[in-house]
Amino acid sequence: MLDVETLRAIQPVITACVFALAFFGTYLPTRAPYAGWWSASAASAGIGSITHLAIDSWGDLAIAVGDALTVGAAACVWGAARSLSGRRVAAWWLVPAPLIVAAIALVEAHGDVAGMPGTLAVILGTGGYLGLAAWSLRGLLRHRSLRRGPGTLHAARVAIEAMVASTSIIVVFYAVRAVVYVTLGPEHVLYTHWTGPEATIVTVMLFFVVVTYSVTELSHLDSSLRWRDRAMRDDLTGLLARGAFMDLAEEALLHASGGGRRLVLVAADFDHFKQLNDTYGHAEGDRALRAFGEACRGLLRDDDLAGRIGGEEFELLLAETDLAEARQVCERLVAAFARSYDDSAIAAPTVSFGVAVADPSIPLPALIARADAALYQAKEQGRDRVVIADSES
Amino acid sequence: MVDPLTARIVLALVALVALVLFYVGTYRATRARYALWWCLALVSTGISTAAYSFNGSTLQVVLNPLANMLAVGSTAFVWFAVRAIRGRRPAWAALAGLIAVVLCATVLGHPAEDEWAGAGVLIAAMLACLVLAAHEVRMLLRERPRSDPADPHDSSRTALLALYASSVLFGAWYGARLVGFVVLGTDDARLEEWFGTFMTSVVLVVVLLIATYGMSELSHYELTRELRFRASYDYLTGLLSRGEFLARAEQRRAWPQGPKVLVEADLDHFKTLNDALGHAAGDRALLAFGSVCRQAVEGIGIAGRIGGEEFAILLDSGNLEDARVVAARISERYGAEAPVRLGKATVSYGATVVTRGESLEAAMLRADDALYKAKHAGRDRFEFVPRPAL
Repeated sequence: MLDVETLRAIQPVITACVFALAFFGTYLPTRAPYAGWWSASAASAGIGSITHLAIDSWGDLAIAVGDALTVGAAACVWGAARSLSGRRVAAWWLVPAPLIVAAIALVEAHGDVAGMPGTLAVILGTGGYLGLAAWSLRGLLRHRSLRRGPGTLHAARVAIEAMVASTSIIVVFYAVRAVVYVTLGPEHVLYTHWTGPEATIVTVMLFFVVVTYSVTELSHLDSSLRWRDRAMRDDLTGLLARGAFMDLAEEALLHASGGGRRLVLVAADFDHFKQLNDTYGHAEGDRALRAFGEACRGLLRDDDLAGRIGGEEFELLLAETDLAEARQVCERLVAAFARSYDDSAIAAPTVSFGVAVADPSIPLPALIARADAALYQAKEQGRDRVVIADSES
Repeated sequence: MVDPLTARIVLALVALVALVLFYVGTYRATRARYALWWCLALVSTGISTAAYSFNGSTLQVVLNPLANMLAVGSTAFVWFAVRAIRGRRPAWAALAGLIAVVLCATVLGHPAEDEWAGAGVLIAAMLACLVLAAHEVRMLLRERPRSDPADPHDSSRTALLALYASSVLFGAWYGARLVGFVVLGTDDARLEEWFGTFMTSVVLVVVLLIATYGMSELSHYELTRELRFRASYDYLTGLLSRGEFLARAEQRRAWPQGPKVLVEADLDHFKTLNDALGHAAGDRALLAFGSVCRQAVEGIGIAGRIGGEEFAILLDSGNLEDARVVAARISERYGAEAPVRLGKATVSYGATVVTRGESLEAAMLRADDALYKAKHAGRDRFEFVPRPAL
């Protein structure tokens, strides 16, 4: 039904367009390595398909060069997949296989082989590299930052799924092609009809469209994550900003009430911070805030939350913790905070803490009020101490 | 010889794949109008291409007019998509008119026998939509600021350029087709060879790929806009956030136009106000200061909230007197506008001059010293610490 000459005429146009979008639209602005690999793949595939058009004038050499470039394009897809998963690929890894495929094509051209010389080598080489690419991409599906998140990351998630799906489909296609080629031979109607050049060109073209879309979307992932992080964090302390802390704490409380996990909220406030600022200047105050933020980040676990709620007020939400452990966390925080002032002429400000155990029946604002009341008591009792909220209050 | 049917199948498949990706990935993330219009453009391109494949069969009499209607619809949807980006409503009347004209011309042109029935009118109508679309993108490019200082990698411009390129390419192709149609006539074999199905399909595939790229770039820009805003501005005062102020001040410091005045401002007795009247009163004071400060430095510098009740201003001018004038204006308006009065609401200022040769941190420390002087000299005043001689 499909006409191979027409397909061969369209393929270079689509490949050129894909190359232009990947290279000028994505690689040059972002310099993302996978976009570079993807541009290289499109360039290699495009030149390869043009070389195949020159069979009449160049003969076997055109076939060998075209085959090498086709396998090279698949190798670059593997490069793109590896660099997407954050691993490196040295360019020379990609050189041997295409050369071997070209050599096989040249040898077969002089031997007595049915069909196009080197076809099986191209199928195995291309399919092999694409298989490696699919294998590398698999891990991306479990990318931590993609598991949950706002709409910004939705498109990136879909892009990765589309890329994994399309790579898997094309690998299966090449596997079937290889099996049919070996068992039934290149003359068999099953091979020519379902896995011959027409089907291959169409499959590869659609694969290119999918991957180009995905690469474009993924090139935004870094900047999306960066902006999300900047929007969520207080940039002096590196802790969560007020709004982000409230959102995440709300979410954590909701989860905990289902699973019966225990959460403890800690309110912390520097003692005499105003005096520190007024006596030594704002730079000293900023230094204290930064050091406290660092102490929090160093001490807390992945599931804990820490936010800067106001000028020198902080809230921590500790997961899987009881009151004794929470008290320990406060003490260790103070110790780490004091240690960061070891080489300093002045001492770290002291800190007062109010601690309250989360209860599924009370909402976040009430829980915060409870911890704040305990914090107030700590200040009243002379500061520099931890007060546990009375759970009956 | 190329096979038109093969080209059509490729086009329909590319449109289908682009549609699925764009709908599931981009439209569902943004739910934006323009993304929906682009989905509709892809759908109608796909269906019209499929319907054209029945040319030569008995179904041609029904499917050819339908395909023509969908073809003009797809270009109108492209136009609507771009209009939606500009916040304008779809021009339903124009769409209905164009479809009616194309349908009449096709029916009158004997669609049962003639594949080219109504082609001249169709091509002219599609061209009109594409010219309108290209015009809208041009307006968008002109309206948008050249670059957003908050976003050095301004993807919206790349996106619009891609959309512009694709609509111009698409329009140019239909312009050429129209010329070919008029000059050569439908009996000339060269019409089919040069401007027929194969070439049109190839051009359409390219246009589809570029425009889908442009649309998804644009969606990303829209999606991160809120995040960028939240990261760059302080939610309470509307001034720059601390990080954004420092980043922009660092950029401006490196400008070649000479030294600039850096001012730190601190609301006097803010803690007393907070303790006596509650946090809400404190927030209102901050809000009032934010709006006064924003107005005062608009066009002559930048201002950010760098701490609880601390603010920083970087003026483009290096003249200390200018800074004094700005500070006096801020104090005067803030004194009048601050909603809660415990006596008079006042501000202390510390200023210094920052030059290209030193770090921003060093200048901030000096401004802090100056502010300290102002506080200790009794508040509600402007103090200056000069740059130490080299």
